[in-house]
Amino acid sequence: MLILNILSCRKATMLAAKKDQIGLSFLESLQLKIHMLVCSVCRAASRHIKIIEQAAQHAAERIFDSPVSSEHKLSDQAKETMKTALRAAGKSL
Amino acid sequence: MLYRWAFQRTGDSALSQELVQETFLAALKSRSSFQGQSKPSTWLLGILKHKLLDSMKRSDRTRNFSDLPDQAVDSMFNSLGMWKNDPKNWDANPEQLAQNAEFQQALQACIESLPPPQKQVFLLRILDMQDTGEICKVLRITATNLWVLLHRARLRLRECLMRKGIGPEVL
Repeated sequence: MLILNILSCRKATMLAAKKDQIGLSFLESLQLKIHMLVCSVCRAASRHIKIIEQAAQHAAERIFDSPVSSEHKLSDQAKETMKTALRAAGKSL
Repeated sequence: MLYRWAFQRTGDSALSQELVQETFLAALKSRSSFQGQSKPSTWLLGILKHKLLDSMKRSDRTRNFSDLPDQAVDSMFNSLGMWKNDPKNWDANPEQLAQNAEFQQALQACIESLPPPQKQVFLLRILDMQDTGEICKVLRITATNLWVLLHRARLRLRECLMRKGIGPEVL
């Protein structure tokens, strides 16, 4: 039983991420379940992460609507270069 | 919007410009196939996503993701691996939270603050919902690299949002 009880919160959060991406071995899965049963902090953290990720997916189209700096915007010169290239391509079509 | 989307994922201004230009050129060539069933911006974004993945596959850049520990993540735990801070128990409807302007601003800033590899993996996997295998292939990383980077990104984002006051009071 000792092997099932030694999982730290740090390791539990790692296993939770691994579970979501590539899955866990039987032992890892059991260790994580037992840790989550007894650790309210990890349960809360895991819930926070799920909420944040789901909300981020819902907000995906909106969150980058407002540029946070000028490097997130295409410069006027770059726009002009692009327009010229598109006009040239349009004529050749 | 297209440029910003590309820049968020590549961090490379010249490459992002090139991808946007290629997107418009591809759209111009295949404009007759646009059925109008989606918004033009959605259609263009779809083309851009393909262009980005193709460009990453073509890239000769070797991905060198360090196996060194992430100090920001390490500092969240004590020497026994237990959480240093006991977070308040907050609950929220993700759809409602997504509408919250304060959350959107904080999330954007927190994503921006992630180390580049973590940011790239988080955006591709969580926001764009790209397939795990595809991300590993285009970024030339192992599946283990992927989930470790995501794990770190998740913890950093949560910590960052809480520092910005996104908690029970906002939700």
